[in-house]
Amino acid sequence: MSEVQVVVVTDEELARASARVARMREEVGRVVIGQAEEVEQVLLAFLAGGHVLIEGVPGLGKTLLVLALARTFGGKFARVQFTPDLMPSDVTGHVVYEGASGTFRLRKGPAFTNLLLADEINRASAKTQSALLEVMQEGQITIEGEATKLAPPFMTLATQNPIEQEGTYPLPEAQLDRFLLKIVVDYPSLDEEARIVELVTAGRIGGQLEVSAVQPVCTADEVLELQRTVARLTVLERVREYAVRIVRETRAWRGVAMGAGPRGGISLVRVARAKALLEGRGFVTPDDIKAVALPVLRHRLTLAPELELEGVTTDDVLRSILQKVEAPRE
Amino acid sequence: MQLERISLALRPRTGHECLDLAAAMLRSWGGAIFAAWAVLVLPVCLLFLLALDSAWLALFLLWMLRPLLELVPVFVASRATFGALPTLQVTLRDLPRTLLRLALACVVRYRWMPWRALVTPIALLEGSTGRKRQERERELQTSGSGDAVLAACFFLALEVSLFVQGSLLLWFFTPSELAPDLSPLEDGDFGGVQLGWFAVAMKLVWLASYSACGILHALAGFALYLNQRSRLEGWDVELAFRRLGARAAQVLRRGSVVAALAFVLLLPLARAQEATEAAQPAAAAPQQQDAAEVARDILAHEDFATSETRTRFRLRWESGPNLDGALDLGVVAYVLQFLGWALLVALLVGIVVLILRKAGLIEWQAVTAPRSALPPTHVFGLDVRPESLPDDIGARARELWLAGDATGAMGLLYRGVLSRLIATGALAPDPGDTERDCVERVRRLDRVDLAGFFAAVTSAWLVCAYSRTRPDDATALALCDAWGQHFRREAS
Repeated sequence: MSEVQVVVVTDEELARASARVARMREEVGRVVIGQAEEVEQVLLAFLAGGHVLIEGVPGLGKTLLVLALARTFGGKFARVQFTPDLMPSDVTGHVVYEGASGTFRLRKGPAFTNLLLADEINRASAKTQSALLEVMQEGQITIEGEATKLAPPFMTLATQNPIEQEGTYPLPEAQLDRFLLKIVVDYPSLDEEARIVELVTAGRIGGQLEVSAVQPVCTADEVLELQRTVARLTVLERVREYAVRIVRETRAWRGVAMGAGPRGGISLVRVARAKALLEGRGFVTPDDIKAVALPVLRHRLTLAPELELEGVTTDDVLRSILQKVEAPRE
Repeated sequence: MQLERISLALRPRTGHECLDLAAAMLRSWGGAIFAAWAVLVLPVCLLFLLALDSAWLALFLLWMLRPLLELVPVFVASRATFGALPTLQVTLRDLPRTLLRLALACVVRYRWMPWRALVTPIALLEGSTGRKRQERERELQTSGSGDAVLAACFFLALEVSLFVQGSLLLWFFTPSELAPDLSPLEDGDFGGVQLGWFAVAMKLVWLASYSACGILHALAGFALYLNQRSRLEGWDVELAFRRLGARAAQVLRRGSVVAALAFVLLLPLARAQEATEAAQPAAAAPQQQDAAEVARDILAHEDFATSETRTRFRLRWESGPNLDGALDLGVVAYVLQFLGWALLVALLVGIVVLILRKAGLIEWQAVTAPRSALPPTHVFGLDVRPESLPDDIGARARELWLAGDATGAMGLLYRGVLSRLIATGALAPDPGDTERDCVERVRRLDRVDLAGFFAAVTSAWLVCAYSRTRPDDATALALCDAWGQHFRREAS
């Protein structure tokens, strides 16, 4: 197989992009206490131009994270609370007739933004979920037959509550596959939680989220440039092959009812590139693939009921797979 | 020993009936037995289990002390059997001296006898010592050791079963947030599991199961002991005769007045009878002869001539048929004795090795043998045999670098470090390990300078291998030069 020829990222480009990403991470870290891994994963997905599914109980700072990220590049932010009666037009927008002018006018929905927080996505009906997932996949919204492109960068951060399953519409596997990463947010440590409480209550009225400490470090155009830089980082054939072997192993693994599809391998390489940039490298190593394998693949696997009954999680299976699949060497 | 004071119904019993008798003893005298057990045995067990860091060492020491500890219920039951159920004060006053007297024999001798529950009452109750005691033990073992071994096996299995079930029950009802982290087991790291409070709970579960089974085992042995003595010494027959004698004496006492009156009234008649018998002296002898003939006739009757044929398998070396129904487990006993000795030797060797290792006289690598006898020749597809590498890897890498072969130079350095670390057993990478995993493994060796060097070599190697570029000359040449500093010193 021949290497795909791309314009190699120069050292100057790499240094500039790396410094910019480091600044973004630093700025987000000013208001999001702890959760370094989750912040990094959201940044990875943002740099790789993907969407994330966040699983965690309410109150762990998901909205704050998105607000802070949007502020780092001066982007727009919208939030939709998904409920069973939410209609697709409530997300995408609709056309209204204006009597004064006698014309139809497009009233844009919250999806016309840069960062969209879809809270508790599994509470909406399959029809509304599908409408959002179409937006995510195509990057455009079609209303009354007219397609409108979303202004890049666009990223959806959908959340799910792992505890309350009653009255929910679980996302089908095909739709889960559209998310680049699935991030599991856990409770902060004692010190982190104490700092959060101190930060939120010191001299403030009410529980408003405060992100004024975050300074914009780049523009939306510069974010697009970052994404283009990520897409051009060097990935050798054997590293790509390593990613593919991991994905294929998920299909052959005992106890896995359905493994990851080809989109799993593609996502692995995309996110590994972003990871390399985050570490200031212009090339992807097997370490990058391995490091991002869990968030990239955990929602693309379906375990057999026997394994689920035994309490085995997809993360356990993926760790075993990563231990088994040989890393490439020259 | 005052047999007439015995409070049990003595009769020949089978082994199973002896177990029933042990259970009956526990039901009758449970309060006194458990009180003595709680005061004398439980503190010792708790001391060993909670004070010693090593659970295995604590269990081993308690296993050695078992014959001694199990004398406590036997002491209480033996006193109660002869009508003097001891109070806790009496037990605390009398028993410790006895236990001290028998401590050495219990640990050195009885510990290795699977049928010890049968013979330890001899030492405790009969007070015999030396050869005399051994002869008594042999007498009791003749047909009772099989049942004692069976009882020991049964109670050991019951104890293990109770312990496992109790532990599992505890595990299942432990909330997941309190449960110990067993994830290191997935990596085969048995030492990395920290059981914490669960280990203490498991020790208490074991103590509970031992308390239930140890007491019953000791009482079963005592019941077998009583049974053997009844068989061999006819205790039951002696008691029956004593009861008959007592009843006869009672009858005689009640009838003494009547007898006196009868004597006065019937004396003249008796004298007349005497005179008559004196006149016919030869008549009594034929009557005695008739009685002997009658006895012979009776014995010749078909009821006494019935013969019965029993068929059973017997081992070749058995001297004669054993028709008393008792299962002879002499061979099993010898096998168990051999296994016991083998276990003792293995444990002693283990303890010696442990002590030597703690003292630093044995290297860790010598105790935990490497995964394979020979180091692997290829790892991750790289040839790591020492003979495949040049003698002076640093110099050769420097030559390659100066000749413009950056990938070859850094690859040689990386391969060389891997080869040296694998050859010395310091590194054993898994197939799925990446470069960073190897760096992490070397970092865990607590050799800071080597870890830093390996991390630097890996970084340079990654640049060459995955970016189609090369590290700067200064970095690469410094690594080539540093090779000698690290591995020449390693070699020396």
